[in-house]
Amino acid sequence: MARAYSLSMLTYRTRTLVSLLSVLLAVIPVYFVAGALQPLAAGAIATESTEYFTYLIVGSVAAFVITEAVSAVPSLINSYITSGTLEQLLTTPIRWPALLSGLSVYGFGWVAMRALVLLVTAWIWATSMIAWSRMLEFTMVMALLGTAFMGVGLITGALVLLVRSTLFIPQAVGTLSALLGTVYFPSSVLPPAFAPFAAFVPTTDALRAARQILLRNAPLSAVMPELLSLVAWASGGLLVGSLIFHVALQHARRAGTLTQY
Amino acid sequence: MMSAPAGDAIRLHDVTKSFRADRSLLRRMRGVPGTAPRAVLDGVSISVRRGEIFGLVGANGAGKTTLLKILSTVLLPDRGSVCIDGIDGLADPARVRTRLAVVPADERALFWRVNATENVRLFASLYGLVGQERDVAVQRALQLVGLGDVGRQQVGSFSSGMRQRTLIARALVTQPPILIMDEPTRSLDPVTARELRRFIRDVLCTQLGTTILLATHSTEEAMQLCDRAALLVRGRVVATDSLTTLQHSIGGARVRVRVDAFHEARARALLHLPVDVRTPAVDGMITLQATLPDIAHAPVMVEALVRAGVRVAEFGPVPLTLADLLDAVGAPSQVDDTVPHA
Repeated sequence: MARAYSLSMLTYRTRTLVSLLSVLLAVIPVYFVAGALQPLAAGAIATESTEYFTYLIVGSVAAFVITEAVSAVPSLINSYITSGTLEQLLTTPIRWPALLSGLSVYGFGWVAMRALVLLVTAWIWATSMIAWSRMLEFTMVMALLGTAFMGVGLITGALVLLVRSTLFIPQAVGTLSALLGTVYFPSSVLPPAFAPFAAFVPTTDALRAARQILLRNAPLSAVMPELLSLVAWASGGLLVGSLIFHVALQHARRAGTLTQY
Repeated sequence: MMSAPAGDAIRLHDVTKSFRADRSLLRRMRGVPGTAPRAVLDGVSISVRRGEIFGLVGANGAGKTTLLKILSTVLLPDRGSVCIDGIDGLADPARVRTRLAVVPADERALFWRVNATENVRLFASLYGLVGQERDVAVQRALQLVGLGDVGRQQVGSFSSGMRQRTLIARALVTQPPILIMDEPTRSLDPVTARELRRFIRDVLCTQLGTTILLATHSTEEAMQLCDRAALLVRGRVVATDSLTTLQHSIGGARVRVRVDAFHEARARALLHLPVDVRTPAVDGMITLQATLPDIAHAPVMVEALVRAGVRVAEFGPVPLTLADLLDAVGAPSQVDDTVPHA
């Protein structure tokens, strides 16, 4: 499944190239804005990074992961219902978790590629270090973050199966995560009314751990509480999301909403 | 678990399915009239014997596609039982999926931007084939449908006929004992459609022994391909038999006769047609349509016309149409298309 979908997507060569170039171009304003804000931000981000630019780059990588996790499944289901492909795939003996995993491989692979472009650019321009030797642990943290939000993706996918709408959940989750999850600024600068909620967003734990590992070269033991919290989020999110998706799929088989209409 | 007789590849009993006419949640919550469920299938019972080509014949909206979706396990019936190759389709859908493959009507279900080999390879993998076994199966399936030489070409560059063949190759890659085909010649030109029908009859059925359930609204297709057929009208099976028997059931054989216009009245009298009607002549000839008690009476009728001095330029059977069948069973030939299709 992953192979066929990836081959299909990779035939859009111009789009692929433009997408990578746009990532590179987007770094330029980030670099200058981060440089301008560095004196103001330095104190607030000190525990996670010495440089606001790298702080933002790691936050952007997390934003890529979250966006893919919450929107990949509903978007695929929507387009495959319309083309009749979903029905066709469900007439084969393959189970839906394997099916969705296969379909998601390309999307997450593409996120990894764009993240790498961001990190390499940051490495070239940044004055502070990036601990490349810790890339495996960093990837693991991002994978846990993606899994935690995959539950939301499955629930949204279930909504598409049932009512053909995401009810703007991916956008809402993305916005809340960016607002509360320390993607672009630390939680200490949030208004007092919002600040306590930051602790209940998995992005906060993930980014704290990711920045400590990649930008501070901190040992895993230093971020163990964040990792455990992420594991809990990922397990719970995946379990709840899977259950809801399974129930929605059964309902769709009864209601006939697996088909194009 | 229900069991099918040894000869039955597919057995449906009392299958009933309704859909909401309006799926808008808000309208349903407000109780807008017309949102009540409407029956798309109503107590459908059919048996398909092993190795036969069975047709589901019906107009648009008759419930053919819904029935195929229930058979292929993507849709659950409200009531009734489904038995595929001896397996209860409702209790064990995963096992049923290993015994059948579906050839959909819609070519969009293919990956258009990858080649035919990759499209077929994907389905081989989904059915659990790996490595060399999968590669051999993919090549065999493509060769079987005559696409062996163009397997490396993007499906998007194919003609409709070639895409239809790719869909068939995809379904055949695991050599399933049962094949479900939804209007396989819908988007094909007459020549390609004829070739595909020959392929279905000679290769799939005769050579490979595949049981085929085929939905179509073309009685010509059903006549050419199917051993037996069920006539579906508004979700009900109104007749199940061979097409020849169904044709007889409409009360005789219809024939078209081209005779000289000068003897129209005499020809009309012999053919038991109203004599006070005139048909416009073209090049001095007129074409009449009559019903004989049996097609075997045709030579006798031609002889009678010739003996009466009528010049007969053409005499032949009129192909059975779906409208004829629907008229024969007392069903309206214009069906209500507002029923939602699954």
